[in-house]
Amino acid sequence: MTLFDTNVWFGSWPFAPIGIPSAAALEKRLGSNGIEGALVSSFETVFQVDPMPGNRALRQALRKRKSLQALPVINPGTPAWEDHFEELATSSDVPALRLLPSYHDYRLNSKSTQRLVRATEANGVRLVITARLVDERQEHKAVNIKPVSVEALTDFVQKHPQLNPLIQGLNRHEVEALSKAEGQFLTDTSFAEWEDTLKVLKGFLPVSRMLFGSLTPLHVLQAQVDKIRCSSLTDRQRQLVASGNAKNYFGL
Amino acid sequence: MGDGNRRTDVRKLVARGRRFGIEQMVALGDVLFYGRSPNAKQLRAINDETARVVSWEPDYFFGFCYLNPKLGERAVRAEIDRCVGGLGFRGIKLEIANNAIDPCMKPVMEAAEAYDVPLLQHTWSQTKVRKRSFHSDPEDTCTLAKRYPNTKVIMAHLTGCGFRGVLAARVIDNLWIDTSGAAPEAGIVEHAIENLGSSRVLYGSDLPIRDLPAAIGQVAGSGLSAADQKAVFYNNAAKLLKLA
Repeated sequence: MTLFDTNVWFGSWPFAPIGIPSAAALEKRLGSNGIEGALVSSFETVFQVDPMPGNRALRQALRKRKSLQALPVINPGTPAWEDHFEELATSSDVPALRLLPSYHDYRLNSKSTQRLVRATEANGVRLVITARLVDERQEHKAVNIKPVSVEALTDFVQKHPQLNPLIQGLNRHEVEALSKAEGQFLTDTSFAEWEDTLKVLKGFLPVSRMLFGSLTPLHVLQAQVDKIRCSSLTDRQRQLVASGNAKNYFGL
Repeated sequence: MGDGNRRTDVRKLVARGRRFGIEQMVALGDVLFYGRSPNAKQLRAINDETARVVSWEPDYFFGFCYLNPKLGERAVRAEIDRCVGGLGFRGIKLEIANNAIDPCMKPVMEAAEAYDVPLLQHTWSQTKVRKRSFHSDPEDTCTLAKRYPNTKVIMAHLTGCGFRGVLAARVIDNLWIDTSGAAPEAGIVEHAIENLGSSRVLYGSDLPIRDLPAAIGQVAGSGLSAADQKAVFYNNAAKLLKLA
């Protein structure tokens, strides 16, 4: 089974000593768990108003790593986001853009987010929305960040039925609730969990809408890989979740 | 055992457990089925369900007796005598009927000591949850263990207890912590072993609300040595539960 990880992070995380020191070390860690390719975002973009210094440093760090592709973060809450979009969307090595609405403190129904959606649709750029990076029950005491709500996500996918965003960090119940929305979306496996997770998700979401995402290094990589590898779905279905759906979605 | 009301489901779970190397499991009833503070009749129904699951696969499951300490000494003692004394359950399970430092815990702890069975106390950091009037923070469960040094306490949910919970649990010889909880957070299992030693951490899955291979992978994919992993996966539980 080949694995493509759609949810990997690089750099230092302020609340736990889990950062991976170099892009080479990250590539090695992923490779040792059977992951052949990954989309990587930078922790440096999470707590900064301007994500671009983190994005640029990330792309520089990954330039010689064949299996790792940068997934830059864009913040439509900043006045300069259109210039940032221009810089990122015209680059051939950027397969999609990531939104961090909770960390950057804007709403998915804000005017600037709506403009960003229109720009991505016009330019054929995929959008990845991070609904959650950390279980809100375990956030650091100083942090008061809530995940993006299912209601906000439902409203968003219904307003943009053709956008088909990848929404990451949803738990099993949130995926089930969002699956009732009249609009398309895909989700990753980073937080969705129940015994035999993929089989349970398949009860309300087509396999074609599930993508492997480990949330490395915040989560234990082997645990996330085994969630896919040991699923009771058919070999073909597991392969789609492991990498096939991601390759189709991102055109890799 | 939320999916344990049908024998075929239980058989499937056992088969899947064995496939991934789990030789035996502790079975707990559907403890929140009647809400956080069940009455005596509801409690018996939950424990009867546990006994039924154990009877279907007696070589695979051990039962733990679910209790509501708020029901008082007489009710608590009667259910412990029925389940531990009569049905052969190997431990006691507590949820969120009360905080672990509530005085109503006294008869529970004394009975656990008398039967020499461990007490598994649901625990979660209350820094964000903020329901401490009935929900035990790691520091509450640690206080409980210190108050009753002759009773073996398992503090449930390492990920929910977090780094602060691990630090609170140091140097309490009658306290263990299990690896179950939330998503497989990196670094927390290693932190527990570093601070508590390898003999006081137990593997736990929280099935069926977690994924079995992911629960195993959280330990197997950590930075622990093979010897420490063996202790967490089997040796510590074998000693605590007096497995043959």
